Amino acid sequence: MQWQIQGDRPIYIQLLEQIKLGIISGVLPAGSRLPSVRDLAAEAKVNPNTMQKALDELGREGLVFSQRTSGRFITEDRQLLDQLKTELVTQHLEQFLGQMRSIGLTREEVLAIIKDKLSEEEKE
Amino acid sequence: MLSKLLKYEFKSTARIFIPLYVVLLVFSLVGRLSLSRMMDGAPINPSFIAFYDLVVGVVMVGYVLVIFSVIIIGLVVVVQRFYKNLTGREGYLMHTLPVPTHHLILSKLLVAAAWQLMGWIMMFLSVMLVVYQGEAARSLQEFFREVGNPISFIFRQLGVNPAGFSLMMVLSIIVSSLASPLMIYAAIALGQLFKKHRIVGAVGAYIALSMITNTISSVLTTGFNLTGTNLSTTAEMGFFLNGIMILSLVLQILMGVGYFFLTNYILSNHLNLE
Amino acid sequence: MNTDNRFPLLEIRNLTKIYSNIQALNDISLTLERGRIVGLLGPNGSGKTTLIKLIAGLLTPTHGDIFINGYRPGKESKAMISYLPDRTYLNDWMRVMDIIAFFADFYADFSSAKAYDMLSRLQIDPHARLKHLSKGTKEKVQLILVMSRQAHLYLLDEPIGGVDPAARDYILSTIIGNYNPDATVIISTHLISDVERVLDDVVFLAYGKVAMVSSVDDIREKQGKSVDELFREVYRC
Repeated sequence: MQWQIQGDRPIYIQLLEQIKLGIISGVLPAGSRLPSVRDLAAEAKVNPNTMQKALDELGREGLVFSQRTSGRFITEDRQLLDQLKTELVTQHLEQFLGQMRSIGLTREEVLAIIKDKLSEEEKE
Repeated sequence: MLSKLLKYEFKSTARIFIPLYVVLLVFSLVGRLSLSRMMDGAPINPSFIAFYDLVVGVVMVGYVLVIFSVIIIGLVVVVQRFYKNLTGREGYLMHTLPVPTHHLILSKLLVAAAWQLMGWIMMFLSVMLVVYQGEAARSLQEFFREVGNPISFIFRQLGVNPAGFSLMMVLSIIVSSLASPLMIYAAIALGQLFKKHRIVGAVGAYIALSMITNTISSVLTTGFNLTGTNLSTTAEMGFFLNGIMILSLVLQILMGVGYFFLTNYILSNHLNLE
Repeated sequence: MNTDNRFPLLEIRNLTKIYSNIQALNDISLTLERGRIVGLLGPNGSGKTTLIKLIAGLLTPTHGDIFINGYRPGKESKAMISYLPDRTYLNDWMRVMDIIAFFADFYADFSSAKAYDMLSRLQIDPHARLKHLSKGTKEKVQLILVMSRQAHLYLLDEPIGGVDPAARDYILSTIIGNYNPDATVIISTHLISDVERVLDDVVFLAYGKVAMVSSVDDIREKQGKSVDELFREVYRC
C-alpha cells in the first residue's frame, strides 16, 4: 500500500481514509488478514498508537473484525463494502461539484466537461 | 559488576602498559648484551673502542629514558584514565552504566595500583637483568654482603626486626600505590566543581591537597617526636623509627580513605558532565 | 521486562537547573506514561539536552526531583534507561564488536543478535575499529547500541540531526519497529516535520519552561495545523 501523510489534518483520519480506499479498490481484499499494527505502522512510518487508533475506528464501523488469536480481518459483508464505496464516491462527487460551482460552471457545462474529458481519455 | 568494570579497565590499560614493559625488557636485554663485554673484561679490538663506547652510551641513555618513560607514562595513565573516562566525553558511557559510582572509582583505582606495583617489579627485574651478570654479579653479591652485614647489625642494635622492616616497606609501597592515585582522583573531582576551567581547578586542588597532607604529616611527626623525648639510646632510636613508619602508613591509609569518600561524594552528588 | 505500574514511567517535579548563573531549566513539572513516543521540541538553547542529561543522571538538579519508575536517577534507573547522547562517547581503540560485547556485559536487556542484525543491515563491519569510522557511521553504531536494548525509557537526543535522509528513515522505522507498549521513547529534535508522524505526544520547551504538552492529533484536530506549523508560529523562526 502507498501511504501519504501530509497537511494539517489528524494523522489517524488520514490513515483511516487510506485504508478504506485500499479496501474499496481491492488492494486489501475482503476477508483478507491485515498485517500487525506494528508492521502497518512501520510501513506507513507512523506511530503505532496512531495506527491502532485508525484500526479501532475501522472496527467500530464494522469494516474490520478481530479474531482473538489470529489477528484482524477485513469484513466480507458485501452490503457494508458497497455502502462504503457509495459513501466515498458521493463524498468525492460532492466535493468536485462544490468546486465546480465555486468556479461558476452551470450543470450543463459540468456535464459537457466530464463527457469531453472521458472521450479524450478513451482516445489516448 | 565490579569484576566486569575491572576487566574492561584492565583491557584498556594493558594495551599501553604491556608494550611499554616489552620495550623496557628489550632495552634491558640490549643493555645487558652491550655491557656484558665490558663487564667480562674481554679484549676489544682497539680500532672499535670508540664505536663500542658510542653504542654503549646510546644504549644506556635510551635505557634511562625508557625507565623514566615507564614512571611518567604510568602517572599520565592514572590521570588520563580517570579524567577522560569519568569526567570527559567517555563519561557519557560510564556514568550511564547501571553501576554505583564507587565501583567506577574502585575499578580505576585497583587497576592503577596494580600497574604501579607491576611497574616497580618490572623496573627491579630490568635493573637486575642489566647489572646482575658475570664479574658484576659476583661483585654485587659481595656488595650486598658487605652492605647487608652492617645494616642488619644496625637493625639488631636498634631492636628492629629486619623481616618486619621489609614487610613494612612492602606495605608502604602498596599503600602509597593506592593513596597516590586517590589524591589525584580527589583533585580531579574537586576540579569538576568549577563551572569553567576544570583542569586548572584540578591542578589547584592537587596542590592544595598536597599542602594539607604535608602539613598534617609534619604536625603529627613533630608531635610524635615530642613524645619520644630524647633519642639518646639506640633502643629509643629504633622505637622512633618504627613509630614513624607506622604513623606514616596509618596517615596514608586515612588520607586515602578520605580522598575516596570525597571523590565518591562529588561524583555521586555533584556530577555535571560538560 | 518488569513493569511497576504503581508509579508513572517518568515524573518530574519542580525541576530547576542553573549553570554558572544561566537558568537552563526553570521549575519544570512533567509526567509521562508508558507506551508513548514523545517529541521533546524546542529551539536550540531551550533546555532539551539539559533535561535529558538530568534524567540520564549525568547532571545533578539544582532543585526539584526526578523519578523513573519511582527511582531517583541512580544504578536502578540507569538499568531502565537507554540513552543516546548528542555526541559520540565511544573509545576510539575499540572495535565495533568490542563495544557490543561491552553493552552485552553491562546491560541485562541488551540483545547482541539484534545489534548484529542491525549492523549487517546498515553494512557496518563488526571488525572495524571505531577510529576508522566516519562520524555518521559512529552515530549509527551508537543508535544500534541504544536500540538493541529492551529498556523502559529511551532518551534520544537529536538522533536525526546530522544524518542523511536514508539513515533518517532507517532510524525512524527502527524506533517504530522497536515499539513496546511498556516503553516510552523521548526524542529531542528541532527537525519536527521529519518526526511528526512518528510521535504520540509533544512537549514544547521554551526558555527553560514547558510551553505546551499535547498529543499530535489534538494539535491537528483543535488547532487545524501540523505540529511543525504550530512550532514555527510559537517560536517565530
